[in-house]
Amino acid sequence: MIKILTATPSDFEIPQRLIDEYLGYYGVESNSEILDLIEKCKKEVLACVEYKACISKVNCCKTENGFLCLDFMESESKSLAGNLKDCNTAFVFAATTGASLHRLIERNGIVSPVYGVVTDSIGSAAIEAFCDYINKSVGDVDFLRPRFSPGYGDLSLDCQQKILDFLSAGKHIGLALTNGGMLTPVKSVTAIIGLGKEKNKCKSKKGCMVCDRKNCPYS
Amino acid sequence: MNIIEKIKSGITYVDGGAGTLLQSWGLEAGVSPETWNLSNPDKIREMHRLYLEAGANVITACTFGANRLKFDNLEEIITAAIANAKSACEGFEDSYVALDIGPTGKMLEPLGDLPFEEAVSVFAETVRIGAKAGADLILIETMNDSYETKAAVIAAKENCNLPVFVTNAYSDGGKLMTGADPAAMVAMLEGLGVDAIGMNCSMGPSQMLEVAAETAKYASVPIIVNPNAGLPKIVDGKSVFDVDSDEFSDIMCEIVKAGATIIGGCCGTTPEYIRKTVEKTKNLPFVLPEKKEKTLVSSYTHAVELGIDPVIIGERINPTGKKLFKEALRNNDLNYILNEGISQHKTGVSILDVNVGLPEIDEKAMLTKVVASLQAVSDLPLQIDTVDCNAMEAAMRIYNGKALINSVNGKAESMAAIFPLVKKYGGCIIAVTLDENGIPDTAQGRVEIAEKIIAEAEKYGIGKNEIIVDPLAMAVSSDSQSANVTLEAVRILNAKRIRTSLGVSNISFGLPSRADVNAVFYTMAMQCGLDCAIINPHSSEMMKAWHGFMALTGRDANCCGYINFASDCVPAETNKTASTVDSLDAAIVKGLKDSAYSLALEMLKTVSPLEIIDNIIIPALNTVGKGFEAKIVYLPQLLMSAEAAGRAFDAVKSAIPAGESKKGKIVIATVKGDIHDIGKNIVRTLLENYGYDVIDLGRDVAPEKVVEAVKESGAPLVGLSALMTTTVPAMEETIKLLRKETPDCKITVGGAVMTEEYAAMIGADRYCPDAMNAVRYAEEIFS
Repeated sequence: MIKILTATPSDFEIPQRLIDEYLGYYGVESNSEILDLIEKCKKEVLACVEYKACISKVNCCKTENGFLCLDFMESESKSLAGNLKDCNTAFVFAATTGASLHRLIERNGIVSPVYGVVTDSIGSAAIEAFCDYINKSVGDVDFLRPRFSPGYGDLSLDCQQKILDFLSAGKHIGLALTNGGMLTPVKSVTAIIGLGKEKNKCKSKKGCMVCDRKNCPYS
Repeated sequence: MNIIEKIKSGITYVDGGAGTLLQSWGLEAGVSPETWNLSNPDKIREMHRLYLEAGANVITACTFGANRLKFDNLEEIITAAIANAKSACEGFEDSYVALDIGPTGKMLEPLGDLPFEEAVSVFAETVRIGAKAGADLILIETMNDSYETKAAVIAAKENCNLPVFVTNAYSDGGKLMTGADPAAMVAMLEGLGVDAIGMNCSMGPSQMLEVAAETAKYASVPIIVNPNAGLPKIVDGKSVFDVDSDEFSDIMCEIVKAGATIIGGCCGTTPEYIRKTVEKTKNLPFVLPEKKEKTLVSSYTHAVELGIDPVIIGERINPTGKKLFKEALRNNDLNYILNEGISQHKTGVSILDVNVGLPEIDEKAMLTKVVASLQAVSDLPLQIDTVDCNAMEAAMRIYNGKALINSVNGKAESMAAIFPLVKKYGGCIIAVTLDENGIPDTAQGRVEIAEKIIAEAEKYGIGKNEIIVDPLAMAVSSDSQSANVTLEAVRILNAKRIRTSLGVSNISFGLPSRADVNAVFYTMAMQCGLDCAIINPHSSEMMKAWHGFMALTGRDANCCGYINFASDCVPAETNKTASTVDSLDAAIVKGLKDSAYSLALEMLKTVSPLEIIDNIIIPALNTVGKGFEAKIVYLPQLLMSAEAAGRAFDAVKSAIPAGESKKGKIVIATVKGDIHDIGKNIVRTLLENYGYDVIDLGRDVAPEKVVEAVKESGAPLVGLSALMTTTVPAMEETIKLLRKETPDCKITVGGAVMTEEYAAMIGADRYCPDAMNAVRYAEEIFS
């Protein structure tokens, strides 16, 4: 069964830390003009963001040839298999912040690049915060594995279409994939969260930490 | 009786969900129901038969997802689906087969990457096959995007003569996923000439009751309501819907009372739901919607109703008398034009006029590009303003909503050109009161032309409510009675319930302090009943007139609108002490755009422009750039400084001899398939403000276009951006083509997934991890 989850800006905060991170903040003091701009953009983002997600619980098993098998796809990804090790079930979800925010980011980028960049970063922080909210809503966080998205490690982006189809994400939350494999509206995420039988020992780690990229600014 | 006669003769019943039934009969998850038309035709026919027995009149053939993006054997599937449905209908009176058309699964531009005309073409193929196979009507359903809905309707209208029914999927909050409310959808769809309008899926009957009631306020055509059986839930490990057939059919009675006359079900509903609905509603009074006579223009989010409060149409997207605007059009500088739209949007106007006519440009191409681009950044309805009928048609076709058309006049030739377009695409029309004999001197003469236009429009099936008459404001400086005549015409038209509009500022032509005269005339016209006016919303006099009028005529509850407006009018310095600096370099370092501009202008009095650039602007920008590289300044500050430097450049640019202003040309693009361009935009901002002539090709750019731009410009450097691994192959392809066609050109690449090794592997000359790095590389190349 597909569960539709919606949230409003009052349901959770967008952590300032995340916004700073996406703005490439290196721990230096900002000037008041930029802080004012961040506040202004944050208000605009919160006024138009529409948090929506569709979530389904799926079975995890191994196929005869040792591949990972979820209800809607088989995957050769070793990274995902590692993430879901010892999980019999997982949650798969697609989440978006909506078309209005997509347009706001476009609009502000036309008005001025810095306005666009700040709005974009707050949008990134917003979807990240929403994903954390989804994490908390699906079950006991102690038993959940780090959220794992297509593109992490060796999990190909190609599986995004399978996730969207399985969840009927176009119908439920207006989410689609471009020919270039990108989610639209922007600031959307697809991910899998393993549900372990035992308390998860690595819950502090992000799923993307399996990535072997050396120059990631977020690592 | 045909389906149109049927829906006008009594409540018409549509079938219910297909997926629920088929899954209970063995359709596995992940298998397309459409394939069962071929593999399990008996079961498909049985499903239709059960619904017909339950009392359904309209059977939706199992073609919901049948389009060429999903199926190679499209003709085979659709033909079989229609045959299955027709075969099931045998023996049932008043039964009709609908070719069922659902969304493509792709998002249309600008939110996604499916071009509008491609969407039309995809739907057109489905329509042609379905019509040929013998469908009785087209049912476009579960559409959660207004633009895709429009593409499907145009495809249906252009490729068959069948009736077209449309139902949209509204979310909580009563809007489509891409933002449209029921009024916007009714305005657009009735404009396009569909035969019945409504909603399906996404919600249960009780939530849909509200959307149905809202739709009924605006719709003049029959209303369709096909709800889900509530929301899914798990009971004993099985997925079931939470509204049973009794509750469902009870609420359907309320839905009929709210105005729906075509009813059925969607996900989770079964023949039992339909049977009970038929039983309980068949004896309810049958009341078709009355003709609403509203004057509605719409965007992809909302409709604006003319004839209630005076509506402002922003006039600034127009090159007349604007040197910079003309330059932007010639240079294809869309950002300049879009900023005109965005800044007017912020003043509170309701509609934006769009005129991009210049003799030396391709107006059709420019108008469609500007309309599409404006709709990506503003949700205001647009007034399409051109005398070029080809440009008008192209813009009306791709417009997402129901546009205001500017204009038609009383000449037979004008009406013969414009009315067929409005009939096809929908729209409200500004009707200018002039004809073959010119502009009448009297109010009565202008009213007569208005009535002639309205009568001619009627012949095309375009109602009086769609015509907004402009009785023409003529310069009072050349005829002292001109304002009186125009105002009298507005009064007479208003008394006849004919909508009116004026291009207000013409009245003051030839006079000093024009804004003052305009504002008084505007106020007088509103008092005479003027419905809308094309004005400059940046004129405080005009906005004061409008806000004052709204407050004084009881249209502004508690004068809140006026109070907010007045407080915004207080000069900025009394609200807040703005940061000030006394040197240009400090203004750039601090990112103060306005100060940078005025200080640069001041400096020009004593210092040469090139000295200002080389000794002040670039070194100041470098200070911030080095800070960014040393990680003691972060990205917004770097960009603010770059923008301040840009304003200083603007100030000195006019004083620089031609040809000396730029350091060199650089072509930049986000590669094919990639729609994320924020990184590329940051690079452009930095490069431009370091003095380079950046040719920005935008996003999703084909390799051939990059090569073409490099050849045309002779740029020695190209910057390519790609966000994700899926688009890096397109980057590699672009590099290969550049190497072949323009071997001397250097190529730098960047983007989230890019690394030094990756860049080398795909044949780039340099990987630039950030914008400052790109500037440094450009300095190397151009040194």
